[in-house]
Amino acid sequence: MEFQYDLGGGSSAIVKKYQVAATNTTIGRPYLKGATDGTGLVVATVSGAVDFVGVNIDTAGTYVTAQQSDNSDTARLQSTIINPLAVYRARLAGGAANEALSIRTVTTASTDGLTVTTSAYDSNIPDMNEGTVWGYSGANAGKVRKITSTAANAATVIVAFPYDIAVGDTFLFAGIHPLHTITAQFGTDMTNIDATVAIAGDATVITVEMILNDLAGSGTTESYALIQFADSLLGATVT
Amino acid sequence: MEILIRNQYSARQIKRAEIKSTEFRPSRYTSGCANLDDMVALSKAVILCEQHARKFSPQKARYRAHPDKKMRRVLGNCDVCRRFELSHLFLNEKDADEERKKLEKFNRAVEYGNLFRG
Repeated sequence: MEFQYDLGGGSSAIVKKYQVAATNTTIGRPYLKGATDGTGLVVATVSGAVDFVGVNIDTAGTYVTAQQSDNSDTARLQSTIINPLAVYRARLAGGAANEALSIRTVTTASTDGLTVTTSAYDSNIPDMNEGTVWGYSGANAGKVRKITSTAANAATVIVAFPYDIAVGDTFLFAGIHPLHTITAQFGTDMTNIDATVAIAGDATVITVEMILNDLAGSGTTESYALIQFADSLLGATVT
Repeated sequence: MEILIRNQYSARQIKRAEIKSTEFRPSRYTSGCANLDDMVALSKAVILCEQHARKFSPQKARYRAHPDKKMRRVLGNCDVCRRFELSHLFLNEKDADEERKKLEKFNRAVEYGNLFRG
């Protein structure tokens, strides 16, 4: 994930170098307060971001604790953006390993534009209720709606899609939604959001807005969520 | 009468002597410049104030300004003088390349995508 803007209105990122407590070779990971008796910041977990500190913009390299034979410095500092109100962009992935989003094909038409029926996909397992569905191809391509209920093979919206949903149309799903949804799940490399995970009651990440693409915009690999970490060690905390 | 002494010291001996003579005084070996050299050697992100950014040659160090315009100027401590102010951010070429690719992909997504706020 990368710095996008600051909700406080300032446009500048604040960058500080901190010791980290583990080897890291990946840029754009969320970091948390160090553990008791720990040696430095620790990377967030896939579903935990309590006491968030910031996102790294360079890598710490190999973590060492023992004195080095060449007397080189054992400290492993990492430049970290620490704005407590920073909003970061994170790509929506179709799984924990940064896969593309899966395309779901409509198998039953909906003449009122309220139900996306997909016989090969159960939107209730994991449950996408309260998440987001948008048209990938067909008449509703690029149109986005909040999912208000789910069942085996079907997702329902209250605000209708503008066109009838036809057999063969395709849609994309994400288990998050701006503001209304307050949880996100990261992929295992901690740089993207796993959009296939059901919404849970974690409340440490807020989706501020989403950038969602259809087929023409390579939506399966180029859709994003702009997120803010609500449980910041340096700012407001919710837990 | 002038006495000419032939210089028979190697570059390494001269460097060692310079370090020794300036051990407890600021010099190019003991000042913030050394910190900057360490940062560059470790391919770390480098933050430089206006004054020190002018003296830094990114091309020579194989560095680049951050590809994202928002990140070219950040609030941080200069890696030479340690002053905290609005400063320039440089990344090593490899990281800068990676960030540029991510940025281009995102810019494309924004241009064609639906900015959705519910």
